[in-house]
Amino acid sequence: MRLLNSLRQRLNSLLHKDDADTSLSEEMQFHFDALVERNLERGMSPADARRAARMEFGSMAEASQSAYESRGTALLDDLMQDIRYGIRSLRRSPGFTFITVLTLALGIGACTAIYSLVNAVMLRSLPYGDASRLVYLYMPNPNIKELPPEALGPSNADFFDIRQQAHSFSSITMFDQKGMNLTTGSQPERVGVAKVDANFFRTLEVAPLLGRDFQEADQQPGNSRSVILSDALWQSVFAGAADVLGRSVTLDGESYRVVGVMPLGFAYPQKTELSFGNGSIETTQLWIPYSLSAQQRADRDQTSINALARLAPGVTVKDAQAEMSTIAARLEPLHQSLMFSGMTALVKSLTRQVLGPVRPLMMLLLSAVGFVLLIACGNAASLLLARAASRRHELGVRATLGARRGRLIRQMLTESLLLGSAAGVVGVGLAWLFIRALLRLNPGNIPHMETATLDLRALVFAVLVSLGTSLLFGIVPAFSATRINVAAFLASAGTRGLVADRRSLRRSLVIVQIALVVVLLTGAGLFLRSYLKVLSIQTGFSSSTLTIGVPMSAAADSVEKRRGFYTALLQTISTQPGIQSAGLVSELPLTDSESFVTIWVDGYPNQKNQLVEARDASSGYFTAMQTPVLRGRNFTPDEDSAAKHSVVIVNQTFANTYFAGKDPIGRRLRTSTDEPWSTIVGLVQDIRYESLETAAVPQVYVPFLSSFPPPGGAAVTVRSSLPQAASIAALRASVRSIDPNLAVSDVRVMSDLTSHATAPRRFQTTLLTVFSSTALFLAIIGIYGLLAYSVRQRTGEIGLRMALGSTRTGIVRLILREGLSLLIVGLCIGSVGAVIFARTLRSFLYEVPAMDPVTFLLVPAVLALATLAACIAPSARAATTDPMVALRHE
Amino acid sequence: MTRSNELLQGTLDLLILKVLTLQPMHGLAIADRVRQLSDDVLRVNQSALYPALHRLEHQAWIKAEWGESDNNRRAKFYALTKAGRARLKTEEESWERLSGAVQGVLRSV
Repeated sequence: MRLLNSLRQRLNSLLHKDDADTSLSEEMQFHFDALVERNLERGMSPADARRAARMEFGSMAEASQSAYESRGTALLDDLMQDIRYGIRSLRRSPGFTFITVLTLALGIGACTAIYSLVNAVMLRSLPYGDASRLVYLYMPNPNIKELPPEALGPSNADFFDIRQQAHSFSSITMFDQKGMNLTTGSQPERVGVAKVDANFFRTLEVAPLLGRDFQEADQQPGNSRSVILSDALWQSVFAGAADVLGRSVTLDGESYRVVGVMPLGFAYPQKTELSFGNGSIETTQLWIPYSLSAQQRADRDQTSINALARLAPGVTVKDAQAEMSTIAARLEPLHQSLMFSGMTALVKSLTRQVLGPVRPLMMLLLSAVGFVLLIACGNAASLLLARAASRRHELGVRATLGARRGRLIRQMLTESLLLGSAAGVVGVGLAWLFIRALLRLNPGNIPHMETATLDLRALVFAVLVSLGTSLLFGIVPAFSATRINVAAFLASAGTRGLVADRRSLRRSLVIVQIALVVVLLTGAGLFLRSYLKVLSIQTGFSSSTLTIGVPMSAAADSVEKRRGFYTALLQTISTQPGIQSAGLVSELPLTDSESFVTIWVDGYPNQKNQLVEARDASSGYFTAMQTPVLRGRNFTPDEDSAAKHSVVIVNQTFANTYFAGKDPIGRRLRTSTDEPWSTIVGLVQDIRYESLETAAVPQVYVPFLSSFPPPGGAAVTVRSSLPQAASIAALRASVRSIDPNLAVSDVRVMSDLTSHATAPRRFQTTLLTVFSSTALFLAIIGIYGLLAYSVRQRTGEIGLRMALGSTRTGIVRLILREGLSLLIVGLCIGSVGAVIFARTLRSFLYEVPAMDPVTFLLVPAVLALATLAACIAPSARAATTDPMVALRHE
Repeated sequence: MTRSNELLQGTLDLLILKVLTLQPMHGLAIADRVRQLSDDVLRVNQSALYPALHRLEHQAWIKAEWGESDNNRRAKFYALTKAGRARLKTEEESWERLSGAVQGVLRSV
């Protein structure tokens, strides 16, 4: 209440300052008059009476000033005055204002943009209730080292046992992903579908926007033709119609009834939210019930589903892990297949799964952009120092006239706050542009990156950064410039004085900037070198091969019909004019799809669980992909349709692993002891399937149609002499001629896949390179600014030196020495930082050591060149100084 | 400007509050009363008096009202508030403590 009153009074007194002043002077006038009257009564003359009263009263001005300050409005009032004064003085030097605001805006904008990204990815909570309570359940087998722990989910039977036995979870759900053909008009469309059980939406604590979620009854086989739409699909297919419930959509040729629509922004599971999701599904557009027959429910060895659970109240991940481990130990002996011997359980929180891999990148980007902001602050501080030096006269006069130091500091800080605020406003605009640019670079592996916006939190961040920045760059100049010795100032006749101390301050600023740039450039250098290494990787395939995905025709419901389908497909495509070679493969490289088999090699000390990558490939595959056959031969066309596989092709790593690099042709292998042997007929170059940056593992190729049953979908690989569009049209026509209901998916050139695979690295490399170039640019401006200023300040000295016989080369050397001394000190300090920084970057690098000599040599070279460039103009200016003019200048 | 009898920081507030316990007064009367009660030893400088009055008013220890002076002129009269009375009590106590302490030091050395 007191506070409120006091505030009201302050405000009142500020608004009615004139009233307050009048009443004060009236009050004092009364006092003064009374004193005069008293003196008159004592018999003084009117003049004496007034003089005596004035003596007794003291300074009326001082009294009113003190009274004014004691009213508590002085601060606010001064601030208004400072702001008005600041705006006026900044307007007087538009060049300075423009450059300072722009420099800072660049830093603030970049920081805000990156913060928005981090906000979208890491800080905003996932829209799944309390997302921190969600956990994935995996059933890893430590005996199979080829598979990461997150690659294996529980089988159907395991899942139902876990659901029955576990008490750690309040809710648990199973789901699977599937690409399906959605037919709405004439052209079928490939959509990402999640098959989910009745607990799915309840576990995620998400309710449909319209209609209902799935019930147990929806999962009954024969009763499972219901579908829930995502908001995006509801908009695109039904134009957001309110009466969408009860209407039907056609999926893979079957009719599904719409029972619900999910709210905007819900698309779980997204690719970035699953450890090993379906590579061709980015987000989920449709949900259908997971319907299982009794036989499927009992399957223990063949299936691997996604299991997501919500921890029961009070249960920690550790508790759940302990319980799941005992359950896994109970389930393990129930498995028949050797693949499961030694099976364990892993409980991993969803947020750790989703955010764990991106956290280091986000931290890296934040710190890099923070460095850029610091460098920008350095420039602004340096500019302010230079300006303060040229304002020395003004500040000196104000100090002489009685302005207190605190008042001058406040004035200077107000100006930097004004600059900071202006930069903040421009910076937010820049941030908006930067975010758009960032989204264009979206590499697809950063969860929820597409939702990055300038939201309230980002704006608050921008405001705080602007204020912090203003203080950061304003405080040093404010304290340094207001350190005025009035006597010395007056002795120098109010003109110029020594400013050496401020130049040394600016030198330290520039040195810090150079050091920061060294750190950033080293990071960017290491990233660039890694990126170049990745670009020059031998992928094992041609980047110009065209590929399309073809799903299995719904009509091909038997093994024989499947074989017929593929034979017809291959034949139709091969006979299209212009097609030079066409092949089929079960899984393309770099598509996050994987297939492993256990093998026994004749004449090799075989171990349990020897896993190799396996692909079903037709004879045209290696030709179309231009994968060199190094030894032996390719499959022949008649082997494509052979009923039983008797021939296989292996890759180089296979030969190196199992035959110690010796010729594998004619050696034999089989997938289990009760299978007949297959003979190795060819040796091909390694293909990087899993990722570009992971060395190939042993690979075995089996003739495409010999596997049993044939794959339920394949990729067609094609080389043709036609233009790309014509080839694609020909492929589409071929598929349609076999089954008009089939939707061709994933039409890509292999370079699309490599480009997609390198996107994350390109993203981080681009950002770090942009940040460090900006930092370098700002630092160069800083060096240039300091040297140009120094040449101006030393004009007299330079003139004197020239008059005393110094040559122009000598003068140039003088300026160069100043620039290079900054460089060397900055480099030394920066190198220490760079070594530390490089060590933390180790996990980001590919085949480049953290202490990469090339980078550590190139960075100083680049900096030295840049510094020399910054020295050119100032030294030229110094060298062309006319000694006469220069001496008069002093 | 002589400042020989400069008041110790904070004592002016105490004196003003004390003097105002008698009756509401204007600035000149306060200054006169302090001088009179201190046998002409303490002279309140006006450039200290008015800021002090405004500060005390601002803290709601005294309140001001315009009124008529003895010679029928407009003058601002200050009166003690309830909060001011409480304040005076604590100020007096701390002054007693302080002066007692100073006395103690002076006597002992």
